[in-house]
Amino acid sequence: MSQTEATELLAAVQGFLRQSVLPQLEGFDAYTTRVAANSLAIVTREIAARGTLDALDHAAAARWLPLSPATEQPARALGLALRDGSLQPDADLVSYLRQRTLRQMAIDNPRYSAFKQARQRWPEIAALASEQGSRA
Amino acid sequence: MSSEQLAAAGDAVTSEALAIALAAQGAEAADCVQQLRRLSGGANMETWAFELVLENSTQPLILRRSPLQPGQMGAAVSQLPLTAEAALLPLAAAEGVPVPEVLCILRPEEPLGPGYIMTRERGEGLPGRILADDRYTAARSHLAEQCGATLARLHRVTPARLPREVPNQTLAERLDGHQQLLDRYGNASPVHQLALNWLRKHAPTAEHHCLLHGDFRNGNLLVDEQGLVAVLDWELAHCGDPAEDLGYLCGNVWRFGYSDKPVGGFGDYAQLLAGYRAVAGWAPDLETIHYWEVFCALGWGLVCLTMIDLYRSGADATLERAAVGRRVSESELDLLLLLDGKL
Repeated sequence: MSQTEATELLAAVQGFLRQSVLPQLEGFDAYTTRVAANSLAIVTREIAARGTLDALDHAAAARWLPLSPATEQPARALGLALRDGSLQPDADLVSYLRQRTLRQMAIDNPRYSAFKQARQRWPEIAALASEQGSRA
Repeated sequence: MSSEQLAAAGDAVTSEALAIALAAQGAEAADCVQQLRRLSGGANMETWAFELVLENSTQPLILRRSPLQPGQMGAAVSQLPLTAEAALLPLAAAEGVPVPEVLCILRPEEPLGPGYIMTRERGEGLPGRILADDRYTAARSHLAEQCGATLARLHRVTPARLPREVPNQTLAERLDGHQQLLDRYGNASPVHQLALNWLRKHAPTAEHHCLLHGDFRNGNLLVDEQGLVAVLDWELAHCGDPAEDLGYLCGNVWRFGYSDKPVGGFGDYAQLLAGYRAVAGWAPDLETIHYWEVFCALGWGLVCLTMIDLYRSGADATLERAAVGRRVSESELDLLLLLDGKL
């Protein structure tokens, strides 16, 4: 077997916090410990999903900003183009923004009330956003 | 912040210092101030609870103080000095808004200042309990109406009556301020930019301009079995379109998971507007409420971005701040849902 994977370490620390530490705490420290364990869960989900989300953003920048030089921050480039008015939101751009936000929400807080609501309202985009690969 | 850090942050707050501050209320010595404890809060704002024990009475009180001056924290954090905040509560009370009674204002040059001491009101403040506990079933059924009526009373306070520190900007100025914040925080979100562009294009013309609470939502309200008991947390008070306070109360982030109840997770638009109309004689239309829900969702995104900034700058490098910074996507999804079909 190889060394412990990063995701295994994250799972182990989460288990330690929730099962060993949390029962001994109360009040503000218990609350903060829950926030700590939850933060590790976010990191775990991000490790699995970050690559797909980045690829989606790069594909969007290539599509809507074809004349701009390649950038490490494609979402920022799109935001700045919306800011100066050189990019106007069309239906496809809005679909991309929905898909990227659903993917980000699946990492950050899949229990947020609007996540369920959005997937019901936009089932086709939700299906795209749950695929491993990305298609804008 | 750990409980040790919380305790250490307020070294100046002692029973002796509070007793001196409350001498006019009859506090003669340190033992008049009992059960002093710090409630949770950030690095900049301290909230303490204690009992003022006099010969014939025990009064539960709250101290709010801010050891840093306004401007030392991030730009999206309140710029309203606590001494000006304290002056708003009696103005609201005079119009019939239920608020704590301010007992003494602590000037910046005083040992505990700037800050103020007020009565500690009874009632439940935790949104989860207000929205779920059976004991608040009756309260929930008319809370939206009470909120509407309460806001209508508050909105009778005209800007001319306010301390000069209370922010009084036009909507266009505030949207410019939002753009500056998006720029300052790196323009990372195309959804925030899309929403800000939409807010500029669809800005309503307001016929009224008055004092707003600015953070009137579930979580800043105390509730008992009969309904609204007190309105707390006035640090974001400012002047503006009265519809803003109503739309803000309906923001999805403040429904705490009960998205099908647009008013704070407990009521419907019709109840809120009926309560408002009964007192004010008019009420905003739903389209204007929707506009301010969009404004609220973007505002929540800016609060999250400010939290990241406070963490990164070291001004408040706590896990809480870092974690709230990960809630930016909530504002983005709320905005996309609100703008669906309206772009």
